[in-house]
Parts: sequence; C-alpha cells; structure tokens
Amino acid sequence: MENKLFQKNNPNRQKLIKPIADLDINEEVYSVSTDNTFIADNELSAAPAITAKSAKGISLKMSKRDVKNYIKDLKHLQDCLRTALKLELSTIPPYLCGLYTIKEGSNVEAAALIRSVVVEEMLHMVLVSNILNAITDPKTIKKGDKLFNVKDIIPVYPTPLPGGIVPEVPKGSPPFEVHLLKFSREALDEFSTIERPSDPKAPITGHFDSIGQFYEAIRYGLLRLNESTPGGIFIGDPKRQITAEHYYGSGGKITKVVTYEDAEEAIGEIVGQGEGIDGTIATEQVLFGEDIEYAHYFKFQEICYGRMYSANDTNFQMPVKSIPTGKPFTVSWSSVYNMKANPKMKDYENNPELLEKAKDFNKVYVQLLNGINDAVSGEPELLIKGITVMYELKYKALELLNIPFDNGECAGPTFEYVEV
Amino acid sequence: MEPNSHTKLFLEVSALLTGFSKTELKATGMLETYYNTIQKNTDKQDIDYFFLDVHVLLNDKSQKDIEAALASQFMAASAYNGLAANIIILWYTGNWGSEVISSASYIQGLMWNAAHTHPPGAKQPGYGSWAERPLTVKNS
Repeated sequence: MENKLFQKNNPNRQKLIKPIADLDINEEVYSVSTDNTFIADNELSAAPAITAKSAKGISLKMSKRDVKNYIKDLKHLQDCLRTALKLELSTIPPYLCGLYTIKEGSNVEAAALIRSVVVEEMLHMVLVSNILNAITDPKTIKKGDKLFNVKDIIPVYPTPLPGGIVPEVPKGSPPFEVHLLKFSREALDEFSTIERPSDPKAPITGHFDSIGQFYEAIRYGLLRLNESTPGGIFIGDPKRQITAEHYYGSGGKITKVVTYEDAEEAIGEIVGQGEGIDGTIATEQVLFGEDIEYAHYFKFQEICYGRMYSANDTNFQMPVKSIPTGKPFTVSWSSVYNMKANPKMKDYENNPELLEKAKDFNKVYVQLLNGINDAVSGEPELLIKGITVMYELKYKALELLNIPFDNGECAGPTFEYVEV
Repeated sequence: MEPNSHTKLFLEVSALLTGFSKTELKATGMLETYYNTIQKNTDKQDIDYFFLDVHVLLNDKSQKDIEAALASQFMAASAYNGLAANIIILWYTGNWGSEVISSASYIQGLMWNAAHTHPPGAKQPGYGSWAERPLTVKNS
C-alpha cells in the first residue's frame, strides 16, 4: 500500500525535498577548500535560475547575518540542540491527535500521510540527539546523566514553537501557537504552518520564521565553532550514536554523526523532510537516502486538497502555491472523534475513573520518552524497546477518545508529564 | 421506563457484572453495540424485567451488598433467561453465545485486558515486547 501511496517509483518525488539548500554557507564565514569544491560541483549541475537565486541569497525573516552569528558558543549550541529536541517533540502530540482522532476505516490516505510524518519526527529527535552527542565531550558526562530531561522537554499545550520560531500568520490573527486538535481543517492549517518553509519576501525581524531557519543557525554554529576550536568540537563518544541497526522500519535514514559533514547531512534530512524545497527543482540528485518521501509540508497540502501530488507537479516557488494535481482521495472531516481541543488532566478531575485513564496514557507517553532518553544517553540498543511502547500509546489514546462528554465532545490524550 | 435510562442502567450493571469501571467500559467504544446486541437477541419481557429489577436494586438504599444480591437474584440460568451471564460473556469475549459480534468486539474483549495480553492479530504490542513484562503490569 505504501508503495502506491507514496509513489516510491516516481522519479520526480525527490524534487520535493530540499537538498541542504543554500550552499553558500561559507561565503562570509569560513572558506574551507573542500566545501568550495562541493559548491562548484553542485552549481554545475544546477539550473541557472537556481544558481542565481542562491547567489542572491534567500531573504529570511531573521537576517542572514543574524542567523549565521546566532550561536554564541559551545554551551549555547548544546542548549539550542536541546531546544531542537523540544521543538521536534512539540510537534508529535498534535500530529498524533490528528491521527488518533481519525475513525478506523476512514481517511485511510490522510492517516497514512500523518503517520509517516510522526515517524519522521521521531527520527528527527534521534538525529538531533546524535548531533548533540557528537559534540559532547565524554569527560563532561557524569555516570547516570541523561541527554535531556523528560519533564522539561514536554510542552504545555497550547504552546508557541520552542526556539523562538514565530511563523507568519494571517494579519489580525493571534501569534502562532500549537494546539492539540482533532483531525480537521483547522488542524491541517496548524500542521502546515508548523512545517511551512521560510518566506523569502518576509521582512527581516529578530526571530526565526521557520524551523528550517532555526536549523540553519545551528548548522552555521556547528561549522563556525568546529573551525575555530582547536581539535574541533566533534569529540563525542561514537558509542553513544544511534545507528541504522538500532532503528528499524520506515522514517528515513539514521545518520551516525562523528564529523561536521555528518551533522550537516543529519540537518539536511531534518529540514528536507519538513519543508521540502523552495524553488530548487533542478537537481535530480538523491542526497539523503533512497526512499525519500514528500516533505511534511507537502504531505499536509495533499490532505488539505484531498489529492496526491503527481509526477509532473514540481514548482514550489516560494511563497508556496503548489496545488497537487495527482490522484484524488477522500477526506472526511466528519468520520472523526470529536475530541475537545487541548485536553488536560485537570479537566477530568471531577471524574476519577477518567482521570485514571488519562494518567495511564501519560504514563505510557513518559515511558516512551524515557526509553528514547535512555537510548540516546549511551544505551542505543534500548531504542527498539522504547519504540514498542508507541503501540500502547495509540490504544490508550483510543480508549480516551471513546469516552463522550455531555456536550457532544469526547475526552482525549493530554500528553502531560506524570511520574512513573 | 425510557430506553434512554436502559442504556444508563446497562452501563451501571455491566460495571458491576464485569468488575471493570464504567469509564473503562465506555473506553472500549462498544457500549452502544452491546446494548443493541442484547436488545436484538433477548426476549423483550426478559429485558424489561431485568432492567426494572436492576433499577430497583441499584436504588435500594437498604441494600448493603449489591454484588451478593446480584449473585443470588440475577445469576441463575433461569433468571431473565440467563441475561446477566450473557452480558458478562459479551463484555469479556465480544461474543453473543458463540457468535463473534464484529471485528471490533473481538479486539475490545475485556479478557485480553484482564490477562494483560492482546487479541492475537490485533493491537500488536511491538517487536520484542514479549521479552518484557506487560506495560499494564508495570504501571499498576
């Protein structure tokens, strides 16, 4: 089914992936001879329009110079990578709410698309952890230390995107916040906003306007600090890396990070899967593994329009106006559990049995995160064990969604921290 | 008595008969299906008397031990044509007699939860999970 759905054999599908764009990274930062060669090669194969575009530079919301100089020092870089973990995690519960609220048997294509995005977001958490581990001096790690703090990393919904990322919203709307919503047009708008690429026409301000821009800052920081630090910053313990053997199934490629180039590839995977390209349609290169899927933004567009992209859909000039023209599929906004938005355990206090169910769900959620945390904190073989908990999470969520309220809405998973 | 209050009584008495809480029963998503199942398969008179007597029992303030009363009045095969026992089997197995009601009822059978396991072929717990204690045991 997946083959048919995601057009694995469509030669144009990788056009929707953004190759780690912007290869002029070192024009003002550092001139590394090998990198220059890379750029030259790439520009030869790229269409003239693209070359012109990258030469001019894409104007981003935060100025390019600010993005380049955003990371101050190694400590700041590590903090930003922890924020990146929080950022990736903050997107998983809203996507899961969208997925779980689809009633069994309906919205089959939409569910498969959202599910594939969730799996990739989990992969992104692992990739970010790999980068963070790669630049963490093993001598600074005390026994029993975990890479992140599960309690701190769980956001309270509605939440702004972590990392000071402020996506543009229509004039007059309140600032963007991530809500936990049932599968709905509103939810799909939210998902698209999360994954939307930077708008080149956006005016320059002091904050990032997209997840991609935030990762740009991290990438520049990695490059700059690695060059300016004697011996480089990639001195982490390779045994803490999660590799393909620790992670099975779909969701793209696990990159083991031991050098700057590895980190760049990992970031390319994260940003490419999220936003796709902006105008970079000329290259046929498969850069980050063979089974590249549509970037998240475009998967959500497919659901919004109830149509797959077809082999001839390319375009994607920013701002994105791409409308899929491929095979239509049915999207039913009514075959959905009517979940109350942003459910909280507090809402269930007058119903102890329901509260218990919500806690059960959250225990499984925290266990899932604990499992991932253990795996990225030096026990990579625990990852698979952690992922099996994912299944239980769904069953617990469905139990909550079956519990109706008097007003026609139903309970839902709250994704809050509880002690386990 | 209104059919509406019958569903409410059905939920209450199901909780007593199965030992699972009302919320847990709702969480299976099967309440309506099962209520319709007993309507379809049981003599109307038996159902009416059953709910009437359940209603009386649940509202009898002098009744200290509801479970004992249920056991003595409702569990005999002759009582209401065995409806109480059928309700227990219904919730635990998703079957009416030996008939599976639906794929969902098979998956939602309480026997899987009670045994901390999962219905074979559905609700798979993930590769390698068999080497671990079930999460429901760990968390309880």
